[in-house]
Amino acid sequence: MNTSSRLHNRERFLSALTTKLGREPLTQPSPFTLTKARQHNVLSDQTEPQQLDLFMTYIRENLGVSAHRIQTQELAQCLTDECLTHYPCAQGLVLLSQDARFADLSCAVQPLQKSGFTTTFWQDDHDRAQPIQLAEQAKVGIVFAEHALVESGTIVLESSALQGRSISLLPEHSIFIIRRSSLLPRITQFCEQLHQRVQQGERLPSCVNFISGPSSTADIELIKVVGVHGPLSASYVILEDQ
Amino acid sequence: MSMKTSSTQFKQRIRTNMQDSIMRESVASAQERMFGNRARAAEDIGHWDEWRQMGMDIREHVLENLDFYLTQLSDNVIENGGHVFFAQTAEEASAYIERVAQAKNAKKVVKSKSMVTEEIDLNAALERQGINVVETDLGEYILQIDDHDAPSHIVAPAIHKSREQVQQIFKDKIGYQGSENPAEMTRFVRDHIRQDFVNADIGITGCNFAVAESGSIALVTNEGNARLATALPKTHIAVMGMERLVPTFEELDVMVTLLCRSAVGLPLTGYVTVLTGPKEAEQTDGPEEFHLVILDNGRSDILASEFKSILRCIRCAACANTCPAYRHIGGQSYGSIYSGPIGAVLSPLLGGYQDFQDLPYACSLCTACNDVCPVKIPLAELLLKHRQIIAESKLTPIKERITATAFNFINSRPTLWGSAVNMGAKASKTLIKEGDMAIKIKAVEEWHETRDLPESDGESFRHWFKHRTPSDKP
Amino acid sequence: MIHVSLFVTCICDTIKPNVAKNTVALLEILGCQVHFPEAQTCCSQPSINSGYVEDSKRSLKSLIAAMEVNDHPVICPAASCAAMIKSYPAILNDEPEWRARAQRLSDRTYELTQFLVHHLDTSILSPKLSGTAVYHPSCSLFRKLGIKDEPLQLLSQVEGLSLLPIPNQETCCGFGGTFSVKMSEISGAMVVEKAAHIQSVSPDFLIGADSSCLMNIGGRLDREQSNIRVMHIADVLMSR
Repeated sequence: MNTSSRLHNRERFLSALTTKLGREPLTQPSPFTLTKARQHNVLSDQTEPQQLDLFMTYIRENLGVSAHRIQTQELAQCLTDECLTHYPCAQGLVLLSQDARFADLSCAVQPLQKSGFTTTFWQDDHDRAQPIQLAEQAKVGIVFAEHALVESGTIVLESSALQGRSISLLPEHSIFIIRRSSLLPRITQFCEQLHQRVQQGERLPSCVNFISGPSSTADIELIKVVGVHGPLSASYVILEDQ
Repeated sequence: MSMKTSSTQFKQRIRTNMQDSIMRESVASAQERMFGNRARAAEDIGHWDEWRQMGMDIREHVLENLDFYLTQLSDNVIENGGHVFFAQTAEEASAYIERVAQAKNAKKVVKSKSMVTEEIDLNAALERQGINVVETDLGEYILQIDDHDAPSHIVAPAIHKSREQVQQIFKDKIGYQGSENPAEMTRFVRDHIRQDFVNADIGITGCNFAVAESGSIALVTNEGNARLATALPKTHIAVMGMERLVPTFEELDVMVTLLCRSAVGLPLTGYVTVLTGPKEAEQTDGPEEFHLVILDNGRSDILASEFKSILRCIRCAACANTCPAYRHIGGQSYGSIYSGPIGAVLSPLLGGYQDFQDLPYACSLCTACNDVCPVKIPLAELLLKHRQIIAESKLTPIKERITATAFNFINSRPTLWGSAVNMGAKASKTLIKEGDMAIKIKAVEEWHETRDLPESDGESFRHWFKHRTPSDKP
Repeated sequence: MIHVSLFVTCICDTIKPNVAKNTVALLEILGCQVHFPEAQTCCSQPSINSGYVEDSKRSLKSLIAAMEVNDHPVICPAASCAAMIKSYPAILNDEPEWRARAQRLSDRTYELTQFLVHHLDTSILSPKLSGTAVYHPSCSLFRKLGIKDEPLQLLSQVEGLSLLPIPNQETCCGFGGTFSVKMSEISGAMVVEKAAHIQSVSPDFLIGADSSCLMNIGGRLDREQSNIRVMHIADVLMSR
């Protein structure tokens, strides 16, 4: 489909708008400078180890997620233990990200299967129904985080062919693998990155998610209930050596 | 649900709702919790007033340059492979979405909470086409299956219901047999509508903020339903009020910070989802087609009016969470999908005075809302502007107009006023006994319903001051 | 000798003259010569807050002219009326000459506690009132005029008085001028809750700096046959 058939009514809409405002359409925005002192001030007095401690405390106390600080070589064992903690009967499917930039999750396949779990990797073929169905059946989804945000205990995920949206969405339990070096104080630093990437002409991933804990609602009497449409629980695994 | 949610008179509505003790208790306790959470979140991050000032500056800049940023936004959505429809009216927006649904031969639509789709009455339009529309936000879902009960809060739409009432609705409508425990009921709904997400042809969402520089839209939720609605169906349609955008991600940071802390008192809600166009070709899940519908529906008139600042609003509902009038009458009394102070300002602008003329008076002008608004909208002043327009277009009751004219006649004539004061002081002593007045006047009766009248000592201050002797001085 | 003008407000003029008398007494004890510009009228709040802004402009101008008999500080024992006067320049924005006159009046208008704390030496007062009190910060006082600490500072000088906090202390009492009759159901519910919060701590006194709010809450307390004594801060500061 060409561009013009995808854009509807813009001229009429905007000219009605500028007519009401009594001015010509703008070709440039008026100058605007965003002050950034406050955004950058948050947690700026904390050293990196202090920030990590704050992150650990926040996610345990406020988000109710379990968290582990490990070396990359311990990853396979840690993931297996974590799956066993949540599913002691070791039954069910564990869905793994194919993204191997930071560590290859193949390492976890054998220990997981040995414990009794079945495992599968996210599929990047063009039939959407099957991977979604697998994700729907999976008990645990394991993904890599691009970043984690200290202030809010947030995981930042970018969708890709190797790591689809559904892995961290449909299974009951999410495990997020976080590189220690990817910790950022708050959303500010990641938004700045996005801004720079856009300025450099990059097309952003179609889906960037900021996830702060398992899904929740407070729609009945404002009582917080964890686990609505998304995962019911989550664990964070922090790779200390990355 | 269109914008108007009730056809009874305002006074009738508030009287009925105020007798609903379940609603009043639920709203009061919810309000206190939300108010407290917001206050704590503002204090935690510190320098809150500076954050609010940034929020206001960003929103004002966007409103000043709206046509530029809408052009940039739509160019980028197209560049990313999406579709953009600019809708001047609610009907145009609905009709476009219906056309997309028809083209996709859609049978089922999942929706994540969106005020603007309520505003354009989208569900009814789609249902007329025989499409099954499922609201997936738990609060909206409760209202939808409760025969389309009206929302009572912008963020927590079913806040007027008790858990027992929700239990009964689930029992009657979807065969729930469990307890009134919110966790158990929530789990039941999760399982009940899970397949709807998987089977849906189209996911429809609102848009908290669009980012002009990249053509992205940001959705702020807690439940995860917006993620599901934008990951599983093959088509995603986002509907946004035309003012809901920011220039770049750097401004998005500030606005999301203000929204999450003001709405639910958290640094970030459970999910902030930033979507840029349809999915890339090589990706498996995510929508193959993305449509952005940009709605005017009266907003350009507001932008050109003295009510412009209301378009800064980011729908956090902090104003409702602090409003004492909202506390007592509940959201449904406003008769509009937009309740609380923001609703009292916005509803007459979008829906006309005919239906919403009473709302600007449901306010004691305490200005508590002004103080919590994250983008510093002078809500109380805007309500006063409404009152001025209503009074000056002679929409107020004739008796009130005569009283106002008489008052201003006397009050602009000092001698007459002075005599009136002296007489008033005397008369009130004679007429008011034991907190009640001998002569029945409607206004006094209204007051007397809950309160005694003040008793005076018969002499005006000005009379005393003029005639006082040196012994009256210290 | 400090010369001041009193802007008495219509509620104090007709119904609560004692508050005005105590205001005069206080100012005189603290060394002021109090003038009362006789042509003063109502600040027009009932009319303006009901939307009759155009119709009210004549009254505004009449009051501005009335207060121009001198250029002394204008002291007002009610924050909502002081705040109203401070909004005159904006209301008269289209008429430059009147706007300027309104601005001059606005600039020299002070709410009573504000003037007492910032312009007079109140240490010579030695008020005594024994018992417990709830202080009601009125919306106009602390939100519109930003006067939060001044009344508390003055009350802390009162020998024998201790203040009790109540839930939702800063919530509006529900008066709101014409709101109290036009939307009497809502206003009534607000004052009922306010009175309940006050009653919950069983104070001896309810103290405020706005007669209108006190008349509203007091009316409810009377209806509940409460023994709580309702006092304007001027009454408290003149207690011996």
